[in-house]
Amino acid sequence: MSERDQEWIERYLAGELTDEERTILESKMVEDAVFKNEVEQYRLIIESLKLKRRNELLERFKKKDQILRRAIPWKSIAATILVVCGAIWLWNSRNPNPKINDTVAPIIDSSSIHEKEVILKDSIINVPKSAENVVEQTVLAPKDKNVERKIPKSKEQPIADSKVSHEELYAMNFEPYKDESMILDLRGEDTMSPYDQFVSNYWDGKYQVVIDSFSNLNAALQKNDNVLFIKANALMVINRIDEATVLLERIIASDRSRYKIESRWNLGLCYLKKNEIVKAKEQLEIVKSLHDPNYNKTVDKLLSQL
Amino acid sequence: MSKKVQIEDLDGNTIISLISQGNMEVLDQVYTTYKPAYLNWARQRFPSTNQQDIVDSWHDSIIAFYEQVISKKLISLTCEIKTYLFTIGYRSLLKKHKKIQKIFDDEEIDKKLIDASLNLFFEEEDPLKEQKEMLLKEINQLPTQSQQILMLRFIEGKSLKDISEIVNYNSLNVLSATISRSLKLLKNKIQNNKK
Repeated sequence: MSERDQEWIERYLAGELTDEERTILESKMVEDAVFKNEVEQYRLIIESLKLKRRNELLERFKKKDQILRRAIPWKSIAATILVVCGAIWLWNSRNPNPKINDTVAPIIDSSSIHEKEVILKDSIINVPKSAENVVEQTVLAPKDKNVERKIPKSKEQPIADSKVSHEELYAMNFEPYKDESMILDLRGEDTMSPYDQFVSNYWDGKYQVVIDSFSNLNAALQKNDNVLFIKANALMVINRIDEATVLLERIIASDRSRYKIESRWNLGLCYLKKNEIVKAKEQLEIVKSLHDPNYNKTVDKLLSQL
Repeated sequence: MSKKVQIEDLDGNTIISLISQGNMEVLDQVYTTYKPAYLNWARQRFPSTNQQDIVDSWHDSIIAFYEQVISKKLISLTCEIKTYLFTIGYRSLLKKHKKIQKIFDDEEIDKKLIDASLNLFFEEEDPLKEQKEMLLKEINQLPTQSQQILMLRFIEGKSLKDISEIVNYNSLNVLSATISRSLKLLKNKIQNNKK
């Protein structure tokens, strides 16, 4: 192999050849098997250099993790917890004061349990001051955003049945549907595809962007019932209920979506929001008849409130 | 002393630009900043997966990201860097657990495109694995400076001029000869191994 060939191969592998030079080199590879073999061997060397860099990075990350682990003073934390627990135990054993027991072990205190039960049955009744914190913590406890959200919202929000309007019932029961299966469809190359972005924006709660970017999807995706279900949820969030209703009716009619129950539940909520109670009940009754464990209690509760 | 770079203050494209210039501190920060959220996120989606596989998928993700940046295949992002990294990690986990079949539930999704994108970063079986590992041993036996020069030239894509400044070579010809000599040596190793 000539010096010139050697130089060209090196520049080729470094990505420095012009288009014209690269065409010449690649033509030569087609015509000359020996030359092609030479280039392949050099390529193998570059691949091995990549492997070397990967190994270096892995080592670097492992060291980084070790440093981070060392930076967390586990022994000190454990010692502190032990000291605090010991102090609490010592305090309790010397001062059998009910107020302290409320904090440390409320379940053992039967009066505390009684107060909690009364409050959770009906949040409208007068709440004894000593229990207010308990109610607040129970009702306002933040939900984990990342957990699969197949369980409809109202399960976690006890309400006073008779005083709630349809609008409020809608607000308490609607939550944009999210689960793992939605992100299984992720795809893309160096950058994200329009579909990736669509789903990603949905996950990030950018619902207006979801609606705006729907037209960027290809024709097949725009007709896909699973994609339309995502769009319907986004429309519901931004209060475009009529449009969401049309989509959900279409999804249910075509019966091809994997979100059949969810579509009926959402459609029921849309009708509820529009004050079309008969239609809402009709959809919710169908949801109920499907005996989905994620909806059983919630749909019963909502139907009883209508 | 220069102020330490905080990636929370940088957008994805600036991060890419800094990494492509060889700023490994930024890559370290990307690694450590998003790692806890990724592990948490992945654990929820793959609850039966062991911790080590999840950590490995995070490594795959950062390495794939780095390689894309260094090879100039990724020069700008159209989404948040976190989303990009999580997507790659997610694909790595899918590969490991062969959950890819779930994607094919939907007949309207272009199967070929999905397949192609999943093969982007993680190859199934590498037929040249043995040869690469043999060569890796040979590369590691080269003088440290030769190794550094080869990495700068063919992995980080630096020009001869840039490399000469980094490694303090006065003559570009000498530098070029060093590269050629190292490559020839490694090529001979391949040929000897074949025999």
